[in-house]
Amino acid sequence: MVRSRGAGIAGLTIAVVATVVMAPSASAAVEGAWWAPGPRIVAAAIASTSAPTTLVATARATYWVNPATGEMAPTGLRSPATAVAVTAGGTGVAALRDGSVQIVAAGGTGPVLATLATPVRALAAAGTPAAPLAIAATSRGIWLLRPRRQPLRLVAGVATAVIAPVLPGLPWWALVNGRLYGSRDGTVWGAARHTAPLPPTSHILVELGDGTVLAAEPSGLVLASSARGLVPDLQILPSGGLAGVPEPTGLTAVGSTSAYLATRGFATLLTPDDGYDWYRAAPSELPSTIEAVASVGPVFASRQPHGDVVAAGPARLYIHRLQSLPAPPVYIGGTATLELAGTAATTFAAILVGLSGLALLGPRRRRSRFTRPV
Amino acid sequence: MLAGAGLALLGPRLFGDPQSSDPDAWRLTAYFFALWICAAAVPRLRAVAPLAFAFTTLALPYSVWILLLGWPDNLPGVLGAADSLGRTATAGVAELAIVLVMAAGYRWRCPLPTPSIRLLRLPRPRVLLVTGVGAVVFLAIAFLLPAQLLGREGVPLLALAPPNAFAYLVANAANATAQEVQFRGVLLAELERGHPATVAVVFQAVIFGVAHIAVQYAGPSASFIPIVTALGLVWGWLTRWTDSLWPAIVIHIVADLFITVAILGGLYGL
Repeated sequence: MVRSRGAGIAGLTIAVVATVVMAPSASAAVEGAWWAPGPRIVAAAIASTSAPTTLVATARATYWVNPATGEMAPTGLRSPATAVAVTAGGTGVAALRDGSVQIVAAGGTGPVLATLATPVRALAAAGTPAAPLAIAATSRGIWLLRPRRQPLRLVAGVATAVIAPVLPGLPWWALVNGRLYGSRDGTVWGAARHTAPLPPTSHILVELGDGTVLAAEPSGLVLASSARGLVPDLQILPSGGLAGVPEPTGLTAVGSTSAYLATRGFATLLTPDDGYDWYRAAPSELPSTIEAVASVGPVFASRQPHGDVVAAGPARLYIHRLQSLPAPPVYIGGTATLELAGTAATTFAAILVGLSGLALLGPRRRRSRFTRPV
Repeated sequence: MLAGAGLALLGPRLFGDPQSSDPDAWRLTAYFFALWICAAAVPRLRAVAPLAFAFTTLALPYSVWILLLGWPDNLPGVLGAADSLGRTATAGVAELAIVLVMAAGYRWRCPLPTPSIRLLRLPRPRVLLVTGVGAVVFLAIAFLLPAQLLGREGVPLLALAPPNAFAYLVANAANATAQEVQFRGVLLAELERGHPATVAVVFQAVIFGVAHIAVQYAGPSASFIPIVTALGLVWGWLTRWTDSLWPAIVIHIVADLFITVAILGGLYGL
């Protein structure tokens, strides 16, 4: 017994040392493989768009950022933005701290769409550059904003999130008093059926290319739409020790069934299949806190992923270029046959080596009843 | 014996892609099976036949498990649909059945000194206490350690919804029980026959860790193998201390269920 305990202690020491030695080398092996460092700005909000450039709001200013090139240019807005949105055509819309919502073009600022009485919490935009359409979520409801028209309140209540359709034909979605609302055209809204309300502070919502909606609660519960309404999809667990559950900070769609989830503690998580499976999206390359995440570029244009995912860390942006995973190789004809023949030959040689070793170095014969196969 | 196994396992990777047509588990099975047959047939080598059979007990059930998982979808009523949880559960139960038969055969035919597999001993109060405390301690450690170190970031609730839960339970329980009978049952018992307890416990744990290298390809962390080796040491020591396989079986089932429920995929990052 004493010897066995000594073995346990010695073995545990070996295992711990091996863990310490192996873990850093393995992390270094994949460094830079998934996320690349981007511009050094502390982003508070990033707009998802299928255009090549997007708006990034910081505590001091708002910038146009092209993730593919790393180029960054100030927008010239007179005050910091609380929410930003960019249409598929590249027209930007920014909500400023004073409640005004303003068009932002690549060449400079555009007209003020409206000035609301309360700050805008979330913003979604669609339409053409000549006739943009913006939906603003405020503590007094959802507002429809169009150039040269008065703001129109569509739904009363505390609105915390609003998203535009990522593809033509898909609905708009919003969270009002924690309840999911939908709209076909952005002008007529109704509460989604069979959907229990989320906590009123929930503000994270995304629509995937196949129409699936994902929402996240501050408690770390992620929900996915189904025939039974929003159903629990993923529960984030405590980060260890006495620390609590990392809070979700953003969701962005990167394809018909894929989405990235940003968290304050677990960096980013990725689902490739409408939330059924979740993977760690290279946390070793990111700071543990990601304040926002967005997709930029034609991520829904084809089956092959294009565009970039932008994650906002505490000190800079991080860029991931969407790309196809390598397809498994296809083996045909002679190659596979030769490979199998070589494998069989090697196995046979290994058996000869093993038997020779046993014959030369193995124990001498001793009395045994183990003489025939069982 | 292990040098030949290493050659059988790694040799073909010098000229082939291990993910293609390379049946690595069956290579090991063929190697140990051939060694056992030859050792049993040649008087001079007869002393090592039980060890070769113990290694065959590790390799053959695992090979059958892989075979059943990849079996074409032509027997859905028997095996469950391909790539389904039902198939995984069926493969796990089949693996356990083969392990139990081989363990019984080993116990029956092994020469003196008689090996102690410790599977059929009735649980005593101390064993039950160790089992419960061990499972709770395992979960407490797993939740106190940094989540990102383990990949313990979340519970995929959709994937674990009720229709899948039973299949997950059966698959993990069968797989964990099979592994305990293989490593802490047959292999540890065989090693104890000819070596000091220290050597037997450490060696079975190292083999247990190395046997999990295949999991590393899709596993959550580079530190997986040393952790598995450490668990093998703890479970080997528990088995000897309680003189029962059941604490290790129950804690292993709890560990496998924890991994299934709480460890997110590591495919896209360490």
